Amino acid sequence: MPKKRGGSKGGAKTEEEKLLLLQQRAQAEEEMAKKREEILTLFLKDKLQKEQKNAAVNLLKLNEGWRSVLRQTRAAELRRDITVLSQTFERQLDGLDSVVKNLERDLQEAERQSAHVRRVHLQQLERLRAQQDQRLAFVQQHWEDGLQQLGARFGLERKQISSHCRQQRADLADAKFTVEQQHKAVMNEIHRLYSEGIAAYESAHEDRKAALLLVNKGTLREKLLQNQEAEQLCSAETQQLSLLLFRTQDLVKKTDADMRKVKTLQDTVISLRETLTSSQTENSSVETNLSAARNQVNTKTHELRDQLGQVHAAARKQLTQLTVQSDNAAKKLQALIVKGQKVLRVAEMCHKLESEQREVLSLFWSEELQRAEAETETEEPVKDMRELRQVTRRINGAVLQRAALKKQREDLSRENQQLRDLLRQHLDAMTISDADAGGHHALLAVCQAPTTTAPPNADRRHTVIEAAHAVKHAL
Amino acid sequence: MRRSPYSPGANLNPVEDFRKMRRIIAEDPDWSLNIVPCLSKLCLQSIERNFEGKPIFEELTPIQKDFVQENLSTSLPLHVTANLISDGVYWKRCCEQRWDLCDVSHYGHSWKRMFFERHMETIIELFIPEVTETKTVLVMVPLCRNYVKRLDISQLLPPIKEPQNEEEEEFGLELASDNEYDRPSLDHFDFNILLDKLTKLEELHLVYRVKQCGMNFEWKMFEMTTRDCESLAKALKSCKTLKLLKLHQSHIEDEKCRLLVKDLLDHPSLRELDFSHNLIGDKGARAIGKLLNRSKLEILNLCDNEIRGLGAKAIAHALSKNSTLLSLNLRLNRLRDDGGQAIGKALLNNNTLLHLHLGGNELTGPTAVTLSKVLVQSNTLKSINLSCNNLCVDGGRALEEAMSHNTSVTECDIRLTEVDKQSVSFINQVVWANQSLEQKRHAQESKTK
Repeated sequence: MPKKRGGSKGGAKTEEEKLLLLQQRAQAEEEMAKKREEILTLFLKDKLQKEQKNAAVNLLKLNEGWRSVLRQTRAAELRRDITVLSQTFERQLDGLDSVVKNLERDLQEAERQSAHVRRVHLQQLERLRAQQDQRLAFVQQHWEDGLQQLGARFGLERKQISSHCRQQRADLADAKFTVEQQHKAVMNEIHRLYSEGIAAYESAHEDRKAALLLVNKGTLREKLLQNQEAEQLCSAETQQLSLLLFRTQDLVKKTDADMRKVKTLQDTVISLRETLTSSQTENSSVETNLSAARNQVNTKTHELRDQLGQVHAAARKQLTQLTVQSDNAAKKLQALIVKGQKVLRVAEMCHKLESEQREVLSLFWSEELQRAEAETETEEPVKDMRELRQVTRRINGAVLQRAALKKQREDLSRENQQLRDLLRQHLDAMTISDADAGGHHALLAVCQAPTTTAPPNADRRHTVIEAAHAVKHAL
Repeated sequence: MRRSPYSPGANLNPVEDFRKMRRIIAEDPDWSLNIVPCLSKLCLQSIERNFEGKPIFEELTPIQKDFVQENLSTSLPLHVTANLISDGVYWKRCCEQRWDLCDVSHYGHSWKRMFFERHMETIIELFIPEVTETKTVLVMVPLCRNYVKRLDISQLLPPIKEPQNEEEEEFGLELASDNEYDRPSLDHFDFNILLDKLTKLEELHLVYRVKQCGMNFEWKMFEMTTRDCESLAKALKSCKTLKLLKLHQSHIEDEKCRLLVKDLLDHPSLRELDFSHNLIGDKGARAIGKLLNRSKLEILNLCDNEIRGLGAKAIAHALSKNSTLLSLNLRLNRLRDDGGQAIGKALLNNNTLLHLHLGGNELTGPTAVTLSKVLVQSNTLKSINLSCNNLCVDGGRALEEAMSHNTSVTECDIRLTEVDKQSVSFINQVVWANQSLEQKRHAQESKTK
């Protein structure tokens, strides 16, 4: 650019130079600034790096410090945990040790017990075996004794029998010898007789032979003739036989034809039977259906009948109830009627009584009637009341009268009774009863003195009349 | 007597007539209408009634003695009857009245002996130390001394446990034991007071156990203590006629066994020793081995103990020098092969042993081989029992081979030994042949006699 500057110096130097200078300065400044910036950036980078390094180192330091603190606290905690755990494990170990010891002891006990039991068992078994052996030996001894006895007995018997046999054999030998002797003698006799007999017989035999020869020739001739006749008869018979054979053959053929007919008939019979059985099965099925239907119908009828019966029973029950109720009602009505009739009768009687008594109490009633008549005109609705009052007054008067009459009657009856008692006693005193008459001292029978005793009614209080007073009345 | 309604001349059935005459029909079979008991019978009856006060028995004739024995009251005190009435119906009645089951053949067919032995046994079995007085035992001794030959005691009661301590000095007890104030002075019945006085005692069977203890069970009831052991040993030494001692199932260990054996050495009459079902080990076995040669033992039974190889070797050592032992039973111990072989080797030198029982000892083949050598050579061994050992086929074959040379063994038991069937059948055949030989020999001997 200096060239350019040199070149531009000749031209508008001052403005261009100033501009150039300014530009150069600006450029320089820019370069300076750039350099400064670069230096700054480098410096900052270095610083940054250093700071980063420091930061890393510090971080590491922090981590270490943090870890050491953590370790310390953790170590403390862990130690505590360890102590606790070690204690628990020791306790568990102690427990297990004690368990193991107990088990050992139990095992020893059990072993001892089992050994004891085994020994006792062995001993018992040995004792039992010894007893068994003893018993066996005894039984065997017994058996052997028996066997010996039997053997001895059999030996004796054998000896006896053998001696017996020998004797018998000797006897038999003697007998045999004698018999043989006899046998020889007899045989000689027989031979002699036999030879004599044979000689005689032979001579006789020859004689007979000659005679027989003659006879035989004659018989031969006769027999030849007979044979010829027989041959003729035979031929006739063979002819007859052949005829018969033909006839039998015909008959056989006929029988074959008959057999065939019979077979066909049998087939028809079988088919008919099959149809019969099928129809029978059909019938039976139909029957079963019918019977089932019948059963159903029967059951239905039964059910209907039951229903009917139930309905009948219900109706009957209702009827009976109705009748009962109606009876009750009728009874009530009748009772009411009776009551009404009674009331009517009572009213009649009252009327009668009133009419009788009207003369006695006419004044009172006339006043009442007057009062009533006076009041009737003014008070009509109170008519019934007036009548009621009259009725009540009448009733009260009747009741009072009745009470008075009752009292009078009671008094009268009392007097009557007293008088009767007095009379009885008097009579008793006078007469002598039959019972006393039969006794020993009838003449001296003494009766009770006549007294009036009070009637045994607890309600009434009667005055007791003494004997003296009663006697006065009696006499 | 009511008059009979029939005329005297009528022909009546005499039974009916009697029934009409007398309505009481007697229950007593001896009663009879016609016979009035004779004076001698009445006298005998009065003798029976007053026997306790005035025992007259010796002066009677045998028939009279029988009559008296049949009717005499069985509840008479023993001090009157024991030495007076001889063996017979009276003792039979006593026994049957007191006990249900009476098997007199077990007691040599003597009712008197049965009665006294069982009586003594019950006294001892029910003896509670420190509660029962020893007088009850001692009182019986002079009465039964001549009749008791065997005592089979099946329980021995321990003292009742009391919280207080009571040290009483019982008669005849000087036990050399530590004087602890906790324990009573007696553990079980002390036999010292009894055994030397029973002059005819030949057999003693003891078990230290309690029957029917119910809920009061304690292991101590089934054990013998050391003091018991010492006192028993002394008692046994003092009894000079004892032939058989059976002390089983009493929890005897080595020390107790040695204590007992110490006092049994050179015993004049002991022939049979039975320590079965105890806990004797090797040391006890050694003591017993010593005993074998210093006494006249013929039968030794140590079954169901804990003897092992060493103990067996000790016994074998004694066997090889011994000439009296006839039967040895080492069943159900733990001999194993070394023990079995030791015994086998000892038997090669022994000529008297007749019966050997080694069943259930975990023996195997090598023992069978040793024993087969014995079988080949021996002509005295009669019965050998090797059952329940695992001899296997080889052992079986060795035995088979040996038996083919043997002529004296009449019983050879090899059941449950896993031996081959062929060997078993062969051995059985040889055994039967030997048995028939034996019978023939017996027959010849009896003929020559």
